[in-house]
Amino acid sequence: MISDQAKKQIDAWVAKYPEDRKSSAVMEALKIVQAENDNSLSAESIQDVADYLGMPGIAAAEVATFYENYNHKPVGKHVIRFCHNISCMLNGSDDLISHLEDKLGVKTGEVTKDGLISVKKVECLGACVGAPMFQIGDQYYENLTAEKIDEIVDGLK
Amino acid sequence: MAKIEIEIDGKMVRAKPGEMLISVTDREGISVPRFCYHKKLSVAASCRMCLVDVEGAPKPQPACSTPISEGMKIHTQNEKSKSSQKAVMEFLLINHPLDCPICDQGGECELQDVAVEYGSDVSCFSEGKRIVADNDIGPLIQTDMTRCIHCTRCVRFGAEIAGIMEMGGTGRGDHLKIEPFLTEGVTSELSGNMIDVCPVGALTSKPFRYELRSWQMNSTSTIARHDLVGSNINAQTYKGNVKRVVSGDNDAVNETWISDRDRFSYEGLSHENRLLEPQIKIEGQWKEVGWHVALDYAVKGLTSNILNNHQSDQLGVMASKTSTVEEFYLLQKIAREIGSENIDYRLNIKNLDNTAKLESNIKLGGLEGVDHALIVGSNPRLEQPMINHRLRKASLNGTSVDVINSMKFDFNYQLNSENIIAPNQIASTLAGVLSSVLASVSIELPDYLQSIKVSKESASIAEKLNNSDNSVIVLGEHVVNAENSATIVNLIAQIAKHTNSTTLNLSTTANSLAAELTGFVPGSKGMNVNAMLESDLKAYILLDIYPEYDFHHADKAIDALNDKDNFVISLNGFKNDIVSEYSDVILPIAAFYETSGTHININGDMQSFAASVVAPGESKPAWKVFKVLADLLKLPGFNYVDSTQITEEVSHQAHNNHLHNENIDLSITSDNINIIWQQSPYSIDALLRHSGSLQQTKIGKLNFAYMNASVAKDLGVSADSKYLGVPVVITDAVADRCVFVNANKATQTGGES
Amino acid sequence: MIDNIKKLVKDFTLGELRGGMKITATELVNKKITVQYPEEKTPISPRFRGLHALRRYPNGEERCIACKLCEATCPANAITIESEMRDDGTRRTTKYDIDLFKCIFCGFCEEACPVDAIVETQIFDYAFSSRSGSVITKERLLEVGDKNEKSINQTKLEDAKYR
Repeated sequence: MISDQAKKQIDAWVAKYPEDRKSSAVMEALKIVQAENDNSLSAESIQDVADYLGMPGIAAAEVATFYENYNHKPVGKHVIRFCHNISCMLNGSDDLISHLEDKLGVKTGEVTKDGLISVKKVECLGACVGAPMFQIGDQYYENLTAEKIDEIVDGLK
Repeated sequence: MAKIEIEIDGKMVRAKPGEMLISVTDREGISVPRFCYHKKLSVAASCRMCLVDVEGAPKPQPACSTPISEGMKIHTQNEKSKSSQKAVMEFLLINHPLDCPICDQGGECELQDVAVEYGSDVSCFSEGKRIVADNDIGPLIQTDMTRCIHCTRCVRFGAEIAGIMEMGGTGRGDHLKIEPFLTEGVTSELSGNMIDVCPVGALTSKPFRYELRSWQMNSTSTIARHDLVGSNINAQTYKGNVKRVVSGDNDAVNETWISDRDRFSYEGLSHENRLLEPQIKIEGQWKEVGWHVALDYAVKGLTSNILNNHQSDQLGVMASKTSTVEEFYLLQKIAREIGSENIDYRLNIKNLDNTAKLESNIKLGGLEGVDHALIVGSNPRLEQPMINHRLRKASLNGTSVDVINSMKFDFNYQLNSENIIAPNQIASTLAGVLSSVLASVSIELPDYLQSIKVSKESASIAEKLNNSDNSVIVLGEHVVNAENSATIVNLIAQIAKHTNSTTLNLSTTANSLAAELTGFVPGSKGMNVNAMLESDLKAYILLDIYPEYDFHHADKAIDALNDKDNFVISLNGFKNDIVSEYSDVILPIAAFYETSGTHININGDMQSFAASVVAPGESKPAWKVFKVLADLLKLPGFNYVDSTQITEEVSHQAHNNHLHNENIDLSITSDNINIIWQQSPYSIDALLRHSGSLQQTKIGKLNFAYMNASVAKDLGVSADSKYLGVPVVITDAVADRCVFVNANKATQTGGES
Repeated sequence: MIDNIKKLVKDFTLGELRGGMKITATELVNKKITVQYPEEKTPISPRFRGLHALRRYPNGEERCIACKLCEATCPANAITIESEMRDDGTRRTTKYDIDLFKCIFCGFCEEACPVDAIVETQIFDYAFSSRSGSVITKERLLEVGDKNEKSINQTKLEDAKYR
């Protein structure tokens, strides 16, 4: 179910597109609904979004599964989006990801027991200049080392 | 548009500017490999297999999405195109499993064919291949998604042709999966076409799974007879059995698509219920006998019951509407030669005095060109899937569609307005439309319209019809048993006349146009089916009739036929207890695919077909049975050796003389609950009812009586009970004072109401 | 004239007989080249193409997957296969008949087989006592395979290095 408040937000986006192109708002709508549901999308909520925008469920699912920004499993309060693309990989992201996994005691794609942190491997975030890097929320953390990661992660509440 | 000249492989070719390169090469017979391109689907350009070298372009261009322009020089066979095609092939084969030996597509696989030509023995990629889990997407389509090459033909088919997007590509890159989402799989009435469009073995036919290789079968082109379209199909046979049906190409009829009904009905042919031996009933006991004995018995019965008593008008003949032209013609000829005009095929009509004729004067192709359509009493998507496909195409091109129905149906295109009203109110709505139409062209209103108040809805429907140059009115089968059905039909004819609309009559399906043409209707001295059943006839010849499904007055029909004094000759393809009970002779006849014959479609095309296989056991094509029966009865004029001779004879004479009620009577306003009784789409004939996979589908399982809460209360039923033997569904989609029944089983009452 | 005299001399001195006896005498002491069939058998090439057999995997599962390539490639149309989905969802034959009267022992079936299911063994001495006996069914083919798996494996190994 989409809450009335979310519907209002979605409607604002729908209004930006021509009347017969309601489905153009699907990305924002999914984002809004995801934000409402502890930052993850269930199949049902994707279907709800599709129904609300008058598009086939599978079309919304295509969008939702294409982009990394949509989570299909429950995630922690903070999502560490660790880049493992070429620049970061060459600068040792694989080792750092293992370090992070060991530190948190979870694998990528899982949530820590306290529900605080989850780790996700993502493709290039466009910050190769500071590789290796990851993103938490809207914040980029660059030139990572094991010590720096420990410091950042310990600081998360 | 002026044509331009381009050069392909050194050959000058003329084509329309803007045409896609691949359609030019296809026309010129130049082979360009492709997977995602399909002539009837939109261009995706996702497989990149059709890369060709265009002079001047730095990189090879995909032929499917490169529009041509004047002076273009294209090389399809040079080093540059060949090497890029080979490279693409190598990419496609990275994840494609090497399981051709167990793949049903093996031998007719586009990937296999192209790989033979462009593939390399070794791949640079030696890592593991991906594996994709399969979902069960329904009883008709088998998936092996590991084989999928992501051409998205099935996705585009669903979105563009079937009109419901059921398959889609989820995930990205290497993780892309083609799958349905949250649904019970693929439920479209055209879903089987996904099997045809899939270039690899990812989507294959489930009933056909692992049975045969394409090269083992003989293919015969034939005609599907389940609807008014007569889709061109290819029956693929092996050792005298139809093993698979695939679509044939005919742009004027079915383009390249066929409905699931036409594709999977063949399964019924090998059902264990097939009738294989002629049988006669001696002192209440059935005995299997040879044809000679059975036919002699039949002749003796006819002779003693009618001929000897000079009561030839005591013979009644009826046939199912799926019969062929030849069968209709011979059976009516027998009856007329004997001296009876009691001939009819309209078994499911409640009141035959209340019928009127409506011509279909628009061709299937023409439907795409209309700018407005009014649909009355029809759910074309399930009843006539291929006609609905044309309407959908028109709608996508901007045609507006108004609907007057008694229930909200799931249309797969945009409707301008949907008017949900009970059948007995339809006439007054149409009268409003007519009155508004006449007012706008300043024609004086006839008496019967004087007292009609024009509703807002009627006015807007009329306005739409008035304002369009090329509109069509589609009449469906839901109103045939309405209290004032003749009035509805006549009003439509009037509206069409005054708005210059064409009309499309879908009110009776299968091969009923053939029955009209061959004169399989009561003559001037003859009785119609309902009259026959009431007048204790002495003898009947019934062709492929299963009374509990076919008659509107099923109970009455079974009672009448069960009369001890009459002599009933039944020709059937399948065993049926009720038929056995009332018949004196049962003759096994060939079903679809087993007989030669002719189907007449809504275009008026007479499409003849040959038998694809020989009928099983002792069963024989019905036209041969009639010919021999006529010979034994010593009737003149039955010297046929071939069904085409009959077809020839038919085309030289056209009967068309049954009763046409021209009356327009708007006075019926009774408050009775209207019942629309309809066999569900996959149980309209005996063959369909015996095809297992179709019965497993969502459409095959339609067996519901829809009504709204207040009607349910009046009828004293609830959501978990049955009405007339059919489970009740309470929904607001149905008009008030109306029950809409889709039945897929015989019920104790048949269509009685 | 001179030829006639030569012939007369040869006839009267039993020349033909002596020639014959000479061969007999040499063969008496030479090494024998015949064998006592069926007790003894001559050596056979590992590529010999004799009676067919259907093989199994070591776990007992039949190899044949009903791809019908052998049927398609058979130049004599000697093979008839019918297939269906077995209960466990795998593709299997329900019928695998080879008509040995039609078969020309070309070995194409073996070449075509993607899973090495159909092979031609080194068995060449078999007989049927009825006309219909020439059609060898799936059960019998599997039986032949089971009985001779060891030698089939052996000959295939011997030949493998030349392939």
